[in-house]
Amino acid sequence: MFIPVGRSCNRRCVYCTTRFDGADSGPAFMRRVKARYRAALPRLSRGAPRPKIAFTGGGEPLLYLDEVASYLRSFLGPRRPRGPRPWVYLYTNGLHATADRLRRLADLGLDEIRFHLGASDFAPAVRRRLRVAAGIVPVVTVETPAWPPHRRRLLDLLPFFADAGVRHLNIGEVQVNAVNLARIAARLLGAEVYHVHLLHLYDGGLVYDVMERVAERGYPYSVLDCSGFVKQIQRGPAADVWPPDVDGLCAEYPERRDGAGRGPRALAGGGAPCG
Amino acid sequence: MRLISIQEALERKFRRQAAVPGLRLDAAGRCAHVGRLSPGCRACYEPDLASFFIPVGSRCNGRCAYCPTSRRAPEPPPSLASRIRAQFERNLRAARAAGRAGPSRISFTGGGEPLLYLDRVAAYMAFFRGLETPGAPRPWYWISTNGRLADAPALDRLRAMGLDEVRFHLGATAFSARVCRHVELAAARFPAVSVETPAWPPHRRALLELLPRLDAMGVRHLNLQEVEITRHNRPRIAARQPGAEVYLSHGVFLDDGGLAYECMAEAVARRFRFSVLDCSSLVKQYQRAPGKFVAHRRVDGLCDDPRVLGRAAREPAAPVAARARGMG
Repeated sequence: MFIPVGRSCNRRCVYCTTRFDGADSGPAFMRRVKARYRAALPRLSRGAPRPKIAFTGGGEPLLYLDEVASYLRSFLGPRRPRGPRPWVYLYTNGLHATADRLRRLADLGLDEIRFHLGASDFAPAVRRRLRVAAGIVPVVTVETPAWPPHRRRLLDLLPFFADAGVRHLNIGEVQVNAVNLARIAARLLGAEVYHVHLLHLYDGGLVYDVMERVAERGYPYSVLDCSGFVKQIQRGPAADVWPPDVDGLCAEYPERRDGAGRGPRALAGGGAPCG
Repeated sequence: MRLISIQEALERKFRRQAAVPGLRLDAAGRCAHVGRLSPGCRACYEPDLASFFIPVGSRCNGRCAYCPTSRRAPEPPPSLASRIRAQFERNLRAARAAGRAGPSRISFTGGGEPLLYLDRVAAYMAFFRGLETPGAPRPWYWISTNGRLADAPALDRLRAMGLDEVRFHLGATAFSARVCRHVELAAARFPAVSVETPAWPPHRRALLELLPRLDAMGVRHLNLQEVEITRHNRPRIAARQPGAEVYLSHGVFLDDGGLAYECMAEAVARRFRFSVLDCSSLVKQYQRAPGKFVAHRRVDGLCDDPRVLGRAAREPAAPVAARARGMG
């Protein structure tokens, strides 16, 4: 379940696909999401993978800390619905990822935080927050677009990610839509795009250059090309008709007890447990 | 059945494409074909919001193993027709306000056999034709059928309604001689007659043997559709084709073992006059997805020109290789 907590954002990224002209979803939406989750959980078949809950969508989730906390209490608190404990993660551009905020979320059971470092142009202040987060939230991931102008900085930061305790580096192929098309065309005059299910920006080989370097230097985190091929499976009907066998794809982390524990270690290598 | 990787599936497809002399890749590589396609195919490659696929009904007089729809699908609600009409009028107004010509195609298809619903088709056609502006380009109207009911009276009625093209799904009857006669009857009545049938490996021999006859019958377009696997047909296909290989695209598709490209190569080598299209997952992904509404390649010259098709249909068409060279 992807939960769009709000539409406000404190950044304006060139490649952002969101149209910032809608209203926030409000309490009625939150009630519906919680009810849907409560209804869906008992229907999960035995042996089904752990449910995944992500706070994301358009805006910056940490601008909606109270809403996120309310969801966490509902999904993970003492009155949570019966059934398997979900894997809960949150996206952020990191500008508001202060230690006290992260501690509040970690204490409520947040499993993973994903930093979109490109949003701040890999700002030193956000990198410091990422390092702090690795001591608070069980799993820290960097999830940032494969944006060609970020190429040098991203490659330069690979050792830092290893040192800071990043476990997963997800590089999302930039999706081109009606909102960002003109901005991208103005910024990257020679940009090349291609159709998968949606329209995507060719990254000039950035992701695979990153993978090659990570493998060469033995950094301990996974790297994912979160490309058009991933999006079409994630968003299309194919996986419902024929779920591919993904055993061993993702890292296994021990299930946390309610609101407890931090700093678990991966039991096996693999990508972030995003299902 | 076996799931193969997208890399394996696409590498196979690209190798097969490379082996067909004169093959054209249009719509940024999505549309692999020889010869010009039906005008009704154009909207699949352009952001044409005003075009409509109209599911007239869910009953069918065929039982194809590969049919992707549920055999217990309910009939479309009676309100569907009025909703389609209202939507069409909105789209038409928007298109005209934007200085565009309006929809490029209206097609009757979807789930059941459209010729079981001739009265419904007639009602829709009366509505759409009533909105045409004299002198302005009109949509290309086509209908799909398995051909069982496409006898001379039915075809005459469709032509009188203003239909431009009939697409025969010959695989539904295992390419029966009776339905092939119906194709001939249609070719004498309509500006374009197409064969649109799945690239179903058990049909390989029958299809390849039929190609010269399709040419002689006056078929203008052969669209070979990659079989889409759904939860409805998956068990049937697994039972019928236990060694089948499928791959995940936006949906799940059956690798045809190279059938579509064999037909293309044969059409080129023997100078058949019909076009051949690999209506594959790459087409479906483009046709159904939002990507083409953001940016698309122009497809001028991809399809036959509907304005001259009536005249061209009465004259012998050039072989596909020659037509491919002349494309813009």
